[in-house]
Amino acid sequence: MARKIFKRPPILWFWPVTVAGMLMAAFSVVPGTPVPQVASGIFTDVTVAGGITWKHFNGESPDAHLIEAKNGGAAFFDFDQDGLLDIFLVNGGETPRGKSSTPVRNALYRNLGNGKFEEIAAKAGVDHISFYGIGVAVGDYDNDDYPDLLVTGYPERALFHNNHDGTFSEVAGKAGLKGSGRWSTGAAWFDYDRDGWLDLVICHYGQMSFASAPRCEFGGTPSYCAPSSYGKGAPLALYRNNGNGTFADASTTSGLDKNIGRGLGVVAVDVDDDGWTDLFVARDGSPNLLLTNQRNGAFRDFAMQAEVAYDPNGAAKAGMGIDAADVNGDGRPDFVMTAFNNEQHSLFINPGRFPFEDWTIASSLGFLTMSYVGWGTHFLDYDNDGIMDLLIVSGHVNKIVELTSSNVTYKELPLLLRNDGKGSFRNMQETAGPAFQTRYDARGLAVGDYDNDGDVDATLVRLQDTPVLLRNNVGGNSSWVGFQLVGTKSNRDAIGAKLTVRLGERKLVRWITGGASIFSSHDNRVVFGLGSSPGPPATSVEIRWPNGVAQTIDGLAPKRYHKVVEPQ
Amino acid sequence: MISEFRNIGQSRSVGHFHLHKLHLLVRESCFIRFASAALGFWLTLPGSAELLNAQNSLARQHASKADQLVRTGDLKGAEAEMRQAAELSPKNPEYLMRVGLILTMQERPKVAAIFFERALKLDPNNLTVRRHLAGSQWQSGNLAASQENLELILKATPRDSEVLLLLGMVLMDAERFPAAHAAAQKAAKAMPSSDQAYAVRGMAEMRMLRYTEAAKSYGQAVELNPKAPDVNLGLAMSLWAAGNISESFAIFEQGLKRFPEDAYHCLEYGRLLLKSAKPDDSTAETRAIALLQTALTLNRSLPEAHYLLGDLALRRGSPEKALQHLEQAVKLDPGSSKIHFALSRTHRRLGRMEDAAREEGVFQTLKAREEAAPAAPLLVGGLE
Repeated sequence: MARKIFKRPPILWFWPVTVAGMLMAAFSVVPGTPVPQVASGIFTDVTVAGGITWKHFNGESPDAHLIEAKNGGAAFFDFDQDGLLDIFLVNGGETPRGKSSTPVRNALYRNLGNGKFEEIAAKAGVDHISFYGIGVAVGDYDNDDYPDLLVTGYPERALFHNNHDGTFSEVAGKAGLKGSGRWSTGAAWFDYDRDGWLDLVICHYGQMSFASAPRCEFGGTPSYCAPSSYGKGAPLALYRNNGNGTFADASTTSGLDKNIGRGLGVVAVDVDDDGWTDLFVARDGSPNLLLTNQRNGAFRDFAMQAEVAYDPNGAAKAGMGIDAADVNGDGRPDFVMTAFNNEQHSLFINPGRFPFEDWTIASSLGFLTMSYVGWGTHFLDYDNDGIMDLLIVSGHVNKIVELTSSNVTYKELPLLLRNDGKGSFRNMQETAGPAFQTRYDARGLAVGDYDNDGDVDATLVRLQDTPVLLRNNVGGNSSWVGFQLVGTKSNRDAIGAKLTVRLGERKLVRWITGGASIFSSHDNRVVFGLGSSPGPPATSVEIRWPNGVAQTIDGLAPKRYHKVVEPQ
Repeated sequence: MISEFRNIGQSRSVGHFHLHKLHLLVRESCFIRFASAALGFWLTLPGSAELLNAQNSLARQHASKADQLVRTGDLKGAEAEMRQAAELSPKNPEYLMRVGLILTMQERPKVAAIFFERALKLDPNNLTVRRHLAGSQWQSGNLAASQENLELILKATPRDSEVLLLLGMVLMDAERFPAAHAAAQKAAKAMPSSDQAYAVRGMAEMRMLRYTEAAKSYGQAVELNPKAPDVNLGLAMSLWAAGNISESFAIFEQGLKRFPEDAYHCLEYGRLLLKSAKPDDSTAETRAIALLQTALTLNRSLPEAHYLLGDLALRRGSPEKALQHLEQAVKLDPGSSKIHFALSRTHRRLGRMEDAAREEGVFQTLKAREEAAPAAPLLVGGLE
């Protein structure tokens, strides 16, 4: 089997070709490294080849604490800034009657650039946390060019500050993010007040105590209880970045703490195209939230008006994973939300006004996901045809479910759903590769181009098992152009930026989002698929930076990543 | 505390409303059979000649007259005669029991229970009277007392299949599904030709989310009694819940032929067709609409059929049409949160923001009540 070689490419600096508003920008060209592919489906499981052997541990026990079923975060991020995406994996933890024979550790896999990874979590100081781990959110909160890590969990959180030397320091207490006693789940970095510093929203699930957890059973076998057993939920938290390494709790001033519920997934994206980043929060058996940024430090929930709070029958689905992308090519962010079996995952189309349109049925998503308990989900243009497709990973929470039904299994297949460009999806199971014919008990899902070949790869976390690293084999067959945005006035990660590429008559719009999927973080570079190779010889991009500044760059070569620095 | 599937439908059941409806249909069918069983039992009782041997001659005459009237179907007349007999011989438990039986035949379980209780006071060891009392108590919703009486009988006669079956129904109503299942299982073993025993077992399995087993139980019930619409409906619904969609639809089709007057077959088939239809399957949607309309022709008081038609109209961009159906639905079922939710969405589309806000308020109030549910296992999402 051919091995991919994807060393860090040389960075070539260019001065801007076209700058809107007479602003100056710098961008570099990062050549992609097309490599021969061995066709074994759209994705190949390269976990073993990559040397990834870490195993997840969730403390599964006869007490069936629901937290055992709701964890498993993953992140793609370049912690050492060597141009190669590394992988961070959050472990769960022990429970009173679910003990591990070895210490429970997180993993940090350093990308060696030859398809192999090296586990260095202990060396980097991110292997150990003193609480039950759930999710991860990556963000350069101090704008020092090196990404930092927030780890959520119960009853605390950790903030690992990147020391630039391959190590991290845990600073949650000092930063004011400890969150003692709370069950934190999904989190997203974003700059809600546009001051150029990343702020943080954190979802909380409910009342949790290992000592007095609710108990349920099915035919004498302990089973996880329904979410409502954990109370009505807990409020969202918003932390405003003070710009000095500390955060101020803005949950009350922003109004976010009024939103009590069982939050799991969150995505930060500009829903109404006003240049201010909004939030969509997927909640488990609680109505979802569509929190629009009021541009004055406050948020207002429009989920009822948008008709995304409940399903059409007024039932709050088991909202778990969430992502935003333009599904139907109208330039607006639409939303996918994963849910429980028999609920159908939701697809909400944003028509630029309220209510949104529920395309769950019309898109085939409902039909395709009827028997799945979906967790991580992310839009990705796997074949670089310029249309956002969808990846979903799944797994039921109770093993005994197989006793009840012939169409629901405990371990479930990942789904690669191809978008026809009009928002209708088709299951690519037959050609997606063996991983898509293998059942997993999956949770977190992160996407990113770890081999820098211009197509988006993925990794998923399996409970009590090794993760799965999936290499994309087909995107490189098409033309593409990629961007790494570096904010200067805006936050360094450019979370909240909107990018538009014109491809013939089509206008491709992408956003750099915060959060997304569930418990996970993603490559914050943006790849635009440009269709069949060789595609256009050059393309241009319009960027709206998070602080509102617009910029246009022309003459961009395809099959390259372009590093664009925000004009000063 | 470990949840024993109490109120499981509150959070994540397979269409709690629809299972509840099925439960009610099974229950209703049992009630009807219960009334006719009372008549059957009456006919096995000592007839006029034996009654004449009783002590009070006038009471004897009234009792004898009551017996004749029961046999001719004049239950009101029989009740009056039997009540007189019981008044004239107040220490005769047989007369009191007979009044209770006539009341049971008239489906008046609360009053019947009073007479059975009086009879039992006079003859506390009479298991027959206790069984009738338990039945009346079940029918009138006094589940704890009914269960207590049935368990007393089972102590004396542990294999009494009728009592086991009745206990199964009582426990179903009490939402103690595993216990109900155990009772129904014993009843089915004791009387393998009872479709009711299998139907109750299937119902318990449905409520315990054991769909594959439920489909088997209902399959046996249908084999034993292909003429019972509730049992056929249970089979079709359990097959669908177990993921055997095409088999389920085949059973629905059979049901439509066998029971053309049964509105519930049309309603549930229409609902599940809509639920399972692929987006490009306009045939399924058209069929579903026709079925729902037929359901309403057969039974105008089905809020669910109005709701589904309203929801579909809303989805198809016809809020005016949706409003017509939803207004009918809410009249029939004002306590349904989903109908108020749909009304709120409809009013919003029609630009009636005040009405939308009002309906949303009702929805939120009802929703808050629904959410106050105890712990339940996490197995399946809602299918409403």
